[in-house]
Amino acid sequence: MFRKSFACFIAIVALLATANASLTEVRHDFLNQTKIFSATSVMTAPSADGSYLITVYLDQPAGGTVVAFLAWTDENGAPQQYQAFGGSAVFAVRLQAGTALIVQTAGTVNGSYNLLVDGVGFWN
Amino acid sequence: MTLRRCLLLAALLTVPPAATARLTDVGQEFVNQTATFLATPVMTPPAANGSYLMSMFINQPAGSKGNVVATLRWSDEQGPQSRSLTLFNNNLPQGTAFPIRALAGSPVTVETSGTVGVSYDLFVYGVGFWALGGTNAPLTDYRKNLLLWSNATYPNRQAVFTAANTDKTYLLRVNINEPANTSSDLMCVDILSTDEYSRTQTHTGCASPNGSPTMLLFPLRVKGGTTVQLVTYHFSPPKWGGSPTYNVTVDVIGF
Repeated sequence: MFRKSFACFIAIVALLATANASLTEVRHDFLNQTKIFSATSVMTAPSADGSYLITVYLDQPAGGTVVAFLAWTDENGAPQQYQAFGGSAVFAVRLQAGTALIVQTAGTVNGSYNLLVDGVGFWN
Repeated sequence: MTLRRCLLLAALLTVPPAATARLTDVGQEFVNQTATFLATPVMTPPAANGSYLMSMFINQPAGSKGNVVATLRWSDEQGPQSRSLTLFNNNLPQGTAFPIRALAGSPVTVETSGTVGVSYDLFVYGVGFWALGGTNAPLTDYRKNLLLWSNATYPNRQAVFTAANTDKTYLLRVNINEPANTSSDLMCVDILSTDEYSRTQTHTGCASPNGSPTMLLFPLRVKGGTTVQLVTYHFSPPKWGGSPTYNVTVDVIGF
């Protein structure tokens, strides 16, 4: 019994020691929105400071003036934000553990709009 | 402990936080091109509307005097969209990265125009944020963090990663920041790489202003077996010595 448990322990330690870093996905699509919306988290808060590459794609018909505001707290505890005035953007985020990236919109909606917030999380 | 329990425990321990495993890899290489070409698909049209982070990198050998424009085209809910990248006759490769939104069944294509010197290389790669659009080899990734550093690394360089044995395309995300301070001491980072023509390429970012992060995002074509390195230094001479606290994080996706 002890031998099996020890072998299992060694196997798991070896597996963890050799496991590669991994990419994870951040994805929150706000499709066919007919109104602006208030601050909404787009991810689960990480348990450790994390690095992310975030993309924003704001897709609205002519006449719409929707703007997206993204906000987060960086590893230094400082508030950061990014404003997407339409079109697309990509930016890096260093996120403090226990906090999340949030998004909200403002402006005038013409019909409907799509806001796609996607990204890659880099984990050790 | 039974084998089944052991395997279950191992599986649980090796799942990364928030893993979704839906990132996929798309792309196409156009190597040693001696003429411009018409619109060519760079991926299989998605089965459903999809979001991608795309990158384009274009380069030419020394002595090639081309002036080539590469244009990526896609269609989103509002209609046709495009983004272009120009290779100038200045011996410098060009790269860019940007998100796209591709409608189900719609092609994503690239074409080139302009004047070709001897030849040029174009690499179009991307990450798909969904399960059904990917076709290629799994993505790989690397990272290098200098957290809460208080010295310039200059003149010493730090390895970020060593490339695979064959020439490959990578997307780098670099962040440098100094926590808010009253010092005017500005720290910078150089990312040094070797391209497919064995030329050294340098990308630079500085933590300006302090208290705000500075981000670089760029694709690289890296010569097989070479090491991408970084060096940090003071913007104002001397480059070496003690510094305000700063952070550098480098994340890399290999296609």
